[in-house]
Amino acid sequence: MQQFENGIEQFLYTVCEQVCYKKIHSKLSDELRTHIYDQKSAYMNKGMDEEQATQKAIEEMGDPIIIGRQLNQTHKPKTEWSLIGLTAIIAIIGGIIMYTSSKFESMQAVNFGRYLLFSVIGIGFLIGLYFFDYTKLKKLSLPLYLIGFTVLFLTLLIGNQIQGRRLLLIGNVLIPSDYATLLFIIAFAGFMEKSRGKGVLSIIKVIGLAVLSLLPVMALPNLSQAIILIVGYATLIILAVIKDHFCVIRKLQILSLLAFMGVAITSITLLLSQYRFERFITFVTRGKSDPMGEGWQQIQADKWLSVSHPFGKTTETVSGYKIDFGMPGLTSDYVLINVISTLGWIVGIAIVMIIALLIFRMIRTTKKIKNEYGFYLSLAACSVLSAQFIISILINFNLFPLMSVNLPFVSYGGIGYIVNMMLVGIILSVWRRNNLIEKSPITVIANRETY
Amino acid sequence: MKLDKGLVSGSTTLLILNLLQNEDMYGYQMIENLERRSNNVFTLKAGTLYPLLHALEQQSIIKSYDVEESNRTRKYYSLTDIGNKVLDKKKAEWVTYTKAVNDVLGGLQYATV
Repeated sequence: MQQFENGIEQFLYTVCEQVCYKKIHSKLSDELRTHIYDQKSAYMNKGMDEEQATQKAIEEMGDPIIIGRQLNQTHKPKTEWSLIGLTAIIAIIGGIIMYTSSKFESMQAVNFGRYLLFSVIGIGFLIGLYFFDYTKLKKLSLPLYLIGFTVLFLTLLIGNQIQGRRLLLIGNVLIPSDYATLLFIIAFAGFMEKSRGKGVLSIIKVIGLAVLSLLPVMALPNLSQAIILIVGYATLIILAVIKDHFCVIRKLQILSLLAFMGVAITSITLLLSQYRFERFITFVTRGKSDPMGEGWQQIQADKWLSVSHPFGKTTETVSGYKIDFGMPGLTSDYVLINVISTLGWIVGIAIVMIIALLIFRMIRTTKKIKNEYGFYLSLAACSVLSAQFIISILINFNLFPLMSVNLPFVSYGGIGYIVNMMLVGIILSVWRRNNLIEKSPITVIANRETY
Repeated sequence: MKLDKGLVSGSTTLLILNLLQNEDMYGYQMIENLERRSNNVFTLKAGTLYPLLHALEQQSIIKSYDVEESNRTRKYYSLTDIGNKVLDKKKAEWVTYTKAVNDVLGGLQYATV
């Protein structure tokens, strides 16, 4: 008896040996094993003895090496090189700008060594996530959510208030709350997956968790982070409704979507009033309503854009000041102005186009993801990255109310930089495993006739 | 439709998709069915079938689900919406092709082929 099994297992082993992607080995073996057993019983019914039947059933399968190689073609891990390439170009332009900014004579000069350190850590995390099996994150949804929530809560309790916002001080390093975006968005993708087909209550639960996570972020207060999280959550919920994810009456889904939007818009409005409504007015008037106060940065931004050259560094000054003295936020919110005035308009336009292409590629990649959880995870990463890119570019051209949003991979930002690299890593990781034909596994307990 | 050349042996894809149009099936069942319906003309090797099924699934032409049966798990395949469209297209191509062949050969009744 055992010896017959050995022949079958040997066959399956040889097939699997050809398939690089180890995770599917067991499912693949199961499928082929069942087939061999079926074939074997058929031969035995025809009167063969077990040994003969087993041997013939294995022979009938064909050459295990050829089968394995063909299956490997289908299940090869895939790499989305366009995402890596585009991210690299943006990060290199960022690196050049950080280098020139390290030569600034003003307080705005950055520490290039520190920048490089964070870049290396960020790229390390990206590579790590690429090879990491993202499906393991699903189980961590609630822990990640709770960690994010607890650390934010701790920041509120014992954090230092710096420029009106609470920041956590560990040793002598200030920790901005960017980590929370990553933790919450990963957790939220998991919550969405768990609520698949669970009906009305699950919608309320998911929206409740989303709103709850926004509270400590808004209390910091970090308006830009809250907006980016809302964009992420809303994208996931909207797509879920379109895909009929919760399996309830569509009207109800749309109603809950409206409820979420309502809560989101109300909270933003509340925050805006806290941030003074004048900011909105200064935005509408491009800073002219209060040129020496609230609108000063917008006015300066427009001035520096107008004196920038098509190519290369502008030699002009505004009101007698060089750019690092005359323009605030050059390595953070207004980094694109830094790019345009240092490297010229052509590089500035090029980087905007590369970013557009990256967003387009991220969406296209996400659309093709078959695993439900992978789809939500990739979509979350994609929407959070895109929101940062788009809002930051708009702010630089005075097309969005001023708030602190970094341009991913270009702005100087320790944890934020690492978080954004990790978001790209997540998309790459999901795509890499897309060929593993294991959608959200549906197992049906047999209630059907077989013959 | 992109398919590994080695995987498409003539009309195998068409035959498999056509089988799945009527009911969901597992691999062994497909081979058995094809043999029976074609009076043993089509004897499809498992070694050809599974790589093809996996490739078709990757292209979302078919999808699979597991069914627990007594002591083993069976992997059933079913046609997706995309698969239905692909099948219609392939059927139309096949009709055109066979008609053309018949026209060239002449005399043969289309319906008997």
